Amino acid sequence: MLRTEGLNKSFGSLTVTRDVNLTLDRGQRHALIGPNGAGKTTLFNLLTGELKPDRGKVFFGSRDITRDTPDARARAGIARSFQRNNLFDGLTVRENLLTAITLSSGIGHVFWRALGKYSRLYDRAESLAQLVGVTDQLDAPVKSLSYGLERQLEIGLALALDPVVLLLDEPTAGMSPDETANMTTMLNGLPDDLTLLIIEHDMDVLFDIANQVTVLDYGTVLFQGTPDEVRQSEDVRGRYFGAAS
Amino acid sequence: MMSRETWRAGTAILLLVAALVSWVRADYFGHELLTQIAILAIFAMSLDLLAGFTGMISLGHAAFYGLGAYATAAFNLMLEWSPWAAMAGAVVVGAVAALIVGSFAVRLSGVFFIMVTLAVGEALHAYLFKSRAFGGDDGLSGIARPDTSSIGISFDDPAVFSLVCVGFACLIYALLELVVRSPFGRLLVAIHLNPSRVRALGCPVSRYKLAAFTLAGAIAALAGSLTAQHNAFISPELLTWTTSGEALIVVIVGGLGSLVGAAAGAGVMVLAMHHLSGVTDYWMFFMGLFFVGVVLFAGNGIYGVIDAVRRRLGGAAH
Ligand SMILES: Nc1ncnc2c1ncn2[C@@H]1O[C@H](COP(=O)(O)OP(=O)(O)O)[C@@H](O)[C@H]1O
Ligand SMILES: [Mg+2]
Repeated sequence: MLRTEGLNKSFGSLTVTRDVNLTLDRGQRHALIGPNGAGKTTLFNLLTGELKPDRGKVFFGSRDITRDTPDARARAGIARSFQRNNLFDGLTVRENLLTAITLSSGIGHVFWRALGKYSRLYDRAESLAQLVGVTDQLDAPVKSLSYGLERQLEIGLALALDPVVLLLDEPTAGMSPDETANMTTMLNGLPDDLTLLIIEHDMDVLFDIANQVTVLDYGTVLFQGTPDEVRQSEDVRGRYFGAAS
Repeated sequence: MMSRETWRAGTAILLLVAALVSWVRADYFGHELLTQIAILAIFAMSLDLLAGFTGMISLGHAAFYGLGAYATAAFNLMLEWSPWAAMAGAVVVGAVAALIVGSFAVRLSGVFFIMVTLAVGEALHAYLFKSRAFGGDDGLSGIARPDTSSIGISFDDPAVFSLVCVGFACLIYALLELVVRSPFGRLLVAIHLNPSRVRALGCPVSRYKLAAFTLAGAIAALAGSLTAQHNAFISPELLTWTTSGEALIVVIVGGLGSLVGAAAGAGVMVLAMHHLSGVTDYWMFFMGLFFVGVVLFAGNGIYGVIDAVRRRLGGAAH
């Protein structure tokens, strides 16, 4: 579904992505883990086009999308959430969701008809709000939301695109245990054919959701396998689960 | 609480009523002022689409205004097109010019966008200032207004022309209001708020900004065309950056991102200029003070105050 070939990226003399080959099969729930600064977010940015690789390629299906812009990739079905909440401050929750839905319904260019006339978009906004748990806040300005709710809306914006591939950058970071549990349930309830790549530090969440794990360290793929294999790997334990936790 | 849109439309209707009442009561100078206000309102609303809604602060918007005026003169005087055809042609010229300028300018943001629009405006001004064909710094005169003698009214009558200009302002308001309420318009606001996030959601940001820039250029050219017909005269002064700056002041005083605020701001600007310049030679100084006051104390200008009333009426529902 989504595949990289020999991906490399450096910032100055710092190589943040080194010969990364990653394959996401359709419907796979793939977790990306690794210590802070390992290059996980950078890899996301390479997959979504926010950054261009120095070397290597990104394929979506059979198509080479290495040179495609972030918006073209999003329209093709690759959606992402951000590590730091990245919302439309100054708009309400509903307006945030509508913005994303407007784009995914392909009516963004319509300038001759009021948005208010597309009632199905409003219905969709409400069902999304329900899915990510922000129904009570639909008309609240984003700025008034708690951190956890902002986080949920952040995921809601990505889901609004009806993506084929969904990339989530630390979706549960900073959430309360309750919110984390809700998020995990919600993610497990996503359609089976959705391909998910998730950066996650919470091992419980990870083992609950993922069926494949890639461990990144200093920009290199250290290990790849099932969650059980990762748990048993001495190498990963030493580097990642060791002193850090 | 009454919706933002309804409140805005109500304000627009009030403003139109005020314009019509002044029209009924106006003498010759009254009609001159009303015409100026209507034209400045059109120009300022087009700039509001850029600056207020999309977040593109242009200091070269007068280039399209001036181009509209020059194109009207050129088509009417040199090619002997009818005034209507010249006006339509001017709008097309404005749109095409904005499309060309925009195709590189919209990729820039912040101060770089401001600088490029400023530079383009100044370059065009310098060219027209020197150009013999277009009358150099003397400009051109003798631009005709549409001939409507067949229906028994004359556009040369200030009362008729002022009403026509108010009519155009209403049309442009209705058009822009439709645009900003549309899916496209909502995305312009989203681009303003967080360009990288709308891009990540699939919006071709530059193309949308270019569309807005082109539309704004076309409307500015219409305002320029009306000015050319109003004064029967054009000069390079129409394109100076101070003309752009004044329009920006009108939009800020009126309230960014409200359209009707820009129209109200145009009224305040023209009337203040008219009355203050009669009282004191330092009227520009007082206008400046007024501007600073609005920016410091009124938040989002005139419309900010009007919208505060709406929220007050809505109570603590929020
Ligand atoms: N735009 C950038 N410019 C320079 N250095 C960057 C940039 N983005 C990330 N880095 C550096 O690259 C490394 C990996 O960052 P990141 O991909 O965010 O790691 P992770 O998400 O795994 O914590 C870090 O050392 C970070 O400081
Ligand atoms: Mg990160």
